[in-house]
Amino acid sequence: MPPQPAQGRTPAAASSTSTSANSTSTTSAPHNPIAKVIWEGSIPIQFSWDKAEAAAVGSSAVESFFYEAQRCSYLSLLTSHVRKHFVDMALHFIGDDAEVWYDYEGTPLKWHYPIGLLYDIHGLQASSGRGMNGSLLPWKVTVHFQNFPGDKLIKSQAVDSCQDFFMSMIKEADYLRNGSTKKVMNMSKSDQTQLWDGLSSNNYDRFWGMNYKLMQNDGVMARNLPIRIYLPESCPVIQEPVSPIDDREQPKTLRQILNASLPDLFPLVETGPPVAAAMIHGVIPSLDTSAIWASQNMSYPDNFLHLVIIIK
Amino acid sequence: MTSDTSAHQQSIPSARLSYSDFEIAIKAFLHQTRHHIPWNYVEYSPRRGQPLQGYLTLTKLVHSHHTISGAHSTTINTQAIGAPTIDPADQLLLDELAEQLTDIPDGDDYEDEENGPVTQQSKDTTLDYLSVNYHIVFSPSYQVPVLYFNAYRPDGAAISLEELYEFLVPEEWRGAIRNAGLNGGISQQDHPVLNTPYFYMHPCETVPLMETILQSNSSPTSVGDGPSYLERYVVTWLSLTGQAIGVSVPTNMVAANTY
Repeated sequence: MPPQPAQGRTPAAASSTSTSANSTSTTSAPHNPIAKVIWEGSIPIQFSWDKAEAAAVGSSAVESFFYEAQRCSYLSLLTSHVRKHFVDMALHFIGDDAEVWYDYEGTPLKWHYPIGLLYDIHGLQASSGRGMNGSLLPWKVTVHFQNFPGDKLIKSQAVDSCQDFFMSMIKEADYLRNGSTKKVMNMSKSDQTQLWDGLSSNNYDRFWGMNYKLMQNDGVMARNLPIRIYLPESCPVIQEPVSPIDDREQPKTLRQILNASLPDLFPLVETGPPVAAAMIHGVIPSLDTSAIWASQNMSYPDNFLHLVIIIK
Repeated sequence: MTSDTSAHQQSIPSARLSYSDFEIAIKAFLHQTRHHIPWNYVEYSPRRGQPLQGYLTLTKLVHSHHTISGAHSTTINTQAIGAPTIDPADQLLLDELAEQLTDIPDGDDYEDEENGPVTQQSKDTTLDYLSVNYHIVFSPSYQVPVLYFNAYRPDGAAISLEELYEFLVPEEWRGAIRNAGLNGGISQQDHPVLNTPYFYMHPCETVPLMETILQSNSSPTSVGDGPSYLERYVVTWLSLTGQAIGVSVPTNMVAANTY
C-alpha cells in the first residue's frame, strides 16, 4: 500500500521496536542505526499545479499539496495522492496517473530516481553551483497532467513501471557484485515482492529483512560495488566497475573510488582546500569512509550508492 | 575478476569486454559492414580530461506491415539493404537465442512456428514507415554491448513499448521477449551517453549467450588467420539479438564470421 496521505511517516515506522503487527516476514531487519536513519530521512515537498494547466481547466487558484516524502521513495508512489488532491480541488477534472509528471524550476524530474537523489541533484547540487545557501524547503515541485515530455522522461505506467525499474536496478547491482543476476533471479517471487512492498509501504523491517541478504552477499566479497556518480549540469552519469579492494587487498576509501573516475576533483592527497565533495542522502561523508561500508550501509534501496558531486 | 585482466588473453576468449575491447570490436564491425549497412561511429567525451569514447548509430527506415486483424503477418523490410532472408544456419543461431531468452526450456512457441521469423504477406494491412535509431553502446556494468533504439512515426512521434512490440518485433519473437527475465526483454531507460529515454534489450543474458557461442565456435589455437574473437564479437552478437527488433546482419557476414 502507498504511504498515508499527507504523512510520509507512518505510525508503524515510528514504533518499530514493538513487534509490527503486519510483519509476516520470517526474517526481520538486523539492528543497523545508520540504515534506519537513512530510511527515515524525509523531505517536505510543496506540489503546485502548473499554472497554465490549472487555468486551462478554470482552476486558477488551486492550493498546493504538501507532503513529507521519504528520501528513499519515488515520486511515482506519491502520484495517486497528488492527483487526488488536485482532482478534489478542481471540478470536472480527472487526470490520469500515467500522464502525471513533475518538474523543478523547469527541469523534468526523473520518476525512476529516488526522491532524495532528485532533491540532492536538482536542489542542493544546482543551488551550490549558483552559490546559494538559503533553505530550499519545502521543496517546490510543479505538477503536470498534460504534455508528457516523452523525449526527456521515460514513459511511466505509474507504479508498475516504477517497480519494474526498481527491480532492474536491483538486478544490475547483483550483476556488479556477483557477475550474474542469479542471486536475484533465484529469489522466490514473494522474496522479490517483499523488497518492493517493504519500500512502497515504508516498512523498514520488511524491506531490510530481505535487502540485508543482498547487501551482505552471503559474506562473499563483491567483485564490484554498485556506484553511480552524478556531476553537475547533466553530464553523463558515471558508472564504472569499482572493485571494493585495492591492489594490497585493503578496502578502498570513497576518496580512492572518486579519484579513479575524477582525479582532478578528488586528488589522493589534498594540497589545498578541497574543490569538490560527494553527497549521499543530503550529507557529506568523510572521504576516508570505506567504500564497501558505505555501499552496504548508505546505498539507496535500489542497492546503488548514488554519489552527488558538489563543486565548491 | 574484471575484464581488464582476462580480455586481452586471446587464447581464452572472454564474453565480458573492457571498454577498449568494445572499441576494437565495434571498429572491426564498422569496417566489416561498411559496404552493407551505414553504421556511424560517434565519439563523445565522457567528461573533461578523459579520453574520448565511442558508440555506433544507425538510422533505418523500417517498412512495417501492421495488421489490423492481428493475424500472423508482421513484415519487416529494410530500405537500405533489402529484405533479409534467413538461411538454415542462421535459423539455428536464432533458435539458440530464443532458448536463451526464454526461461522455459521447452520452446513451444518456436516449435509451433515452422517458418521462424520469415515474413508473411497479409492483404489486411496498413502501411507504416518507422524511422528507427539503433545505438550500440558499451555497458560498463554488464561489460557487453547493449542495443538501444527508438522508433518514430513519419510525423516524428516516438512509439510506445506496446507499439514497438507490434510494429518492430516479429510476431514469432514476441512471446519469448515479453517473458524474458523479470520484466520482459525490452525496457526503457536513460541512454547512458545522451541521458534521454531509449528502449534497450536487457543485457543480463548476453554473457552466458556469448560464452556459449564463443566456446562452440572458437578453437584456442586459431588466432593467426581470420578475424579474432573480438573482431567477430559484434557480428555474432548482433546477428543473434538484432533480428528480434528489426536490425540484421547480412547472411554472408554471419556465415563468414561464425563458421
